[in-house]
Amino acid sequence: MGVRNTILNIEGLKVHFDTLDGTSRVLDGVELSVREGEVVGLVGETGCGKSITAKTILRSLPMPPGRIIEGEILFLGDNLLELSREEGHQVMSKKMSYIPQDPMTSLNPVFSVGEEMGDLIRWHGRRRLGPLELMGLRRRHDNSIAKAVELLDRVKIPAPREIIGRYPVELSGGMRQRVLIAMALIGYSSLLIADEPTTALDVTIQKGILELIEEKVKEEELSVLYITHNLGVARRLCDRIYVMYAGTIAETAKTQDLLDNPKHPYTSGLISSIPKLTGDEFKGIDGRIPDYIDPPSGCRFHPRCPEVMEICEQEKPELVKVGGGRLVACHLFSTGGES
Amino acid sequence: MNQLLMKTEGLCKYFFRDSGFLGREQKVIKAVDTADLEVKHGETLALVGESGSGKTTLGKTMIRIYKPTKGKIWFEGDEICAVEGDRLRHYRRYMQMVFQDPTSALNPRKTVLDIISLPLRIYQDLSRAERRQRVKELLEMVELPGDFLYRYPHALSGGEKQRVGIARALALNPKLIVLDEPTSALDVSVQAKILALLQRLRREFQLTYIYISHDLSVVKNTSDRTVVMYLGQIMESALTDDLFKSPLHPYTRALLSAIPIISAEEQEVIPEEITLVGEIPSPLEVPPGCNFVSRCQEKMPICETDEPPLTKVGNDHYVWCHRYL
Amino acid sequence: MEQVLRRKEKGNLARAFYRFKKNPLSLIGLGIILTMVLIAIFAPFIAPYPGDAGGAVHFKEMFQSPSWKHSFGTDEVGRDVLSRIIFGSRISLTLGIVVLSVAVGVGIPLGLFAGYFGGKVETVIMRITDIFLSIPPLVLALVVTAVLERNLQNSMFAIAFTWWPWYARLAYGQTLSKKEEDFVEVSESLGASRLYIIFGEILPNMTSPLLVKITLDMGYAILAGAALGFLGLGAQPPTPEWGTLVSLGRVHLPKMWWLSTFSGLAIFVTVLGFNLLGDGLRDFFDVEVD
Repeated sequence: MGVRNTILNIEGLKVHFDTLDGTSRVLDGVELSVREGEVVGLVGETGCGKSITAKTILRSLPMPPGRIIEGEILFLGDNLLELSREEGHQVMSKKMSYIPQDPMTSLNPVFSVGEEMGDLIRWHGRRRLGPLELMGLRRRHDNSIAKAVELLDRVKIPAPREIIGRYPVELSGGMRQRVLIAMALIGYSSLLIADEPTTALDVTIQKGILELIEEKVKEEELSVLYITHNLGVARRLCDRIYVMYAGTIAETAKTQDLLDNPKHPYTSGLISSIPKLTGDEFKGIDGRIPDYIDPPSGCRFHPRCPEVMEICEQEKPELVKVGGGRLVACHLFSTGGES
Repeated sequence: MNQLLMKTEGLCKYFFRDSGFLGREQKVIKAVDTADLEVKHGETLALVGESGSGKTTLGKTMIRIYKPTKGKIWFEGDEICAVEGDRLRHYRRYMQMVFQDPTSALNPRKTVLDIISLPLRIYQDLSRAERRQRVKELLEMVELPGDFLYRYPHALSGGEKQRVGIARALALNPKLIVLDEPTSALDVSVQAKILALLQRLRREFQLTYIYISHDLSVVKNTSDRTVVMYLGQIMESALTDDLFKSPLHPYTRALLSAIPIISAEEQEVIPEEITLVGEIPSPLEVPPGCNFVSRCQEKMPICETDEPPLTKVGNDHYVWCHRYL
Repeated sequence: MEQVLRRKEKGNLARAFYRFKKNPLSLIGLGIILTMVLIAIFAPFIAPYPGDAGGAVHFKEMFQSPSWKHSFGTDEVGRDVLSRIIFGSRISLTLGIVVLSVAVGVGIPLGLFAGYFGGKVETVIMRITDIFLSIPPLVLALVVTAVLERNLQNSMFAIAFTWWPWYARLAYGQTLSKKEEDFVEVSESLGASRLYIIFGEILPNMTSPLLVKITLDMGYAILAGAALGFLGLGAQPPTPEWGTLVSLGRVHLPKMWWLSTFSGLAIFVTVLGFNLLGDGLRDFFDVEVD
């Protein structure tokens, strides 16, 4: 298989947040890439910065109090951080799609599904809407409703024509998430960013949604950045995984390589914390997530690391290649040594 | 009866909601419908299910946080469904609960000392110094430093808050603790530590746990027996290992196949692939017959009209399904 | 033992003050109020002519415009306006404190009970609250003072009478949301007394919106008192209540402008101070009050 184009490339992204207690250094040099047709997982626990990374890409982070200190986000050749808000918005609305985390709060309760989807289909990509359009006076005589029904059908919603008329409050979590996925497919062209779309759902419903996403990815050859805290979900959907800890990337590898043979101590710790059906022992990781205002020196994981060395406290490890397309940010591997 | 700590028979908890014009009609939500179960001394019994299953309501009803609508509950041989007032308080001290959301479970305006000592202040006549001492002991039991006494919940991490909740539950030396998804709000690395703590406490204090969860991986590793619930009814109940080895109820099997696993070895434990179609029905509109009929892939005509009977299938293995008559 | 990574947390009070300082307007508000309180406390020592606060008369000095001797001039019977205004601060502050004490003391418990117990208790209390909310304060004050004597005490009573429902509503709304929290269920399951739960567990959780509302309301209560005074329904002369002073000076406008103007300014500055402070507190706590 030939080398595929890189759609998204994040390099050295540092983002700080000004808070009342000081400056929170939430992202400390994130490196990430998504190639065409890939599903890339961004996995980490609460507070590791995965959502903030997504929001920085989508420019939906409030700035201030957020500040981008350095780094690039290259999307289809443009550095998103250098574009003006307008230009960035144009690029994103035409080429990126987003599935938000919580289906219960992501749909506007006063619009029916048809109205919400219809507006998106109709005005997709346009920057300005005139007053007549906002008042809905130019709504009729177009096929946006038909298109909406078709999209709902594509996400396997039963009786889509009925659902068009319903309001979000009448739909269950699973249904709402399907609607959100359908909306994300409107005008999708290059990159889909999914932010933990199944976290709030029951496990049997989650299974259905994951199957749907899997199917859509194959059918439409989507490129996806999939954010989750659940390694089991990542295993199912992702070709490659980035493990994130405290605002940095700890490790990245192809999914099965990562799960079978984790290199970064945090990844091992994470995997070993998960209770397994095989009954193997599971233990956690000592300590708590670091304070981003006064983070640990050197490697941010060092206070909790079972394999900590002297250098870990002094120097922050860079991501280095360890063969097989894998990268690890850990001093155990910096000098080419094996753990 | 010495083996049994608790037993329920036909336990029901219904919630009533006014509806219709001027609230004349009343809708009934059968949150728990006819639960028959036993809890043995020293075991961990898991109540498993998804939203609307009634598992939390069942747990709370069993320890009389909710008043049962119908049925009977026995605690160490005494029937406690109808007791009230001081007599109820007498039993309550032996049955405590740890809540799912550690932030909501602790009053943000109270210090850790106040929070943990609340049960002591209500039930025991200790001096302030004695209470303080006892709280310090409890903090030690849950592996928190003594200087946490005067902290407020907002200064604690999720895992630490949950430990405080556990310390509070231990304050009166209970016999039974109902744990309502105690780790679902926590990250997986913290979860493992809390579960280890709970195991240790169970051994040390000979506690019995009713563990409510939707996470079957955790359940497999921590519980002795498991009860599967759906829409207020118990569908299957068995020793945990048996439940995984030979799940019988179609819902149980679907639930197992939905667990997100991370290795091929785990896949072997649950070989089946079942994806349910459809949504969990609203508890206000429970269909007649078996509650699971709307999503069951193995339904028979009788399932839509008749409630499934209880069938004993093996040692301690019970299933409520027409297929196993 | 869980390893704990902890930056030294600044003391709660220090953090609180730092946040508060960020808003200069609220600091101004705080300054105004503190000044007012000090003036009220030390009135006899600050006022140049303390005797003029009451019924003293100095006909020789009447209607003097502001000068070095009398910074705010003198009134129609020769009393020093500045001194009267200084003593007036005591009246206004007292009025605010009394009115709010009654409003809070009556309204909060009623709202708490309505929210916690629900059912008939809730219906009865909230319907009564609604009735009182629909009465315009000044109209009620008119009624009260028509029935009873016209004086400061009765005007305070009248205002408090119309003020308590807002506190009942605040407490009611807060209780409805807080009582669903798990920690309330914990206390209930432990068999704690309901009074303890209501006042010991739920009430402490509404101190932020309560504090903001009380601060803002102090200004409005003082304003209401001044309004009644202006209408002649409140404090009667020679009591130097600010509203009364404005009213008395009104007939002499615009020639003897200093009689109404300074007392009017006093009202304005005071209410502004409480508003700024209250807004600052609201932003600081990040709460919604009503």
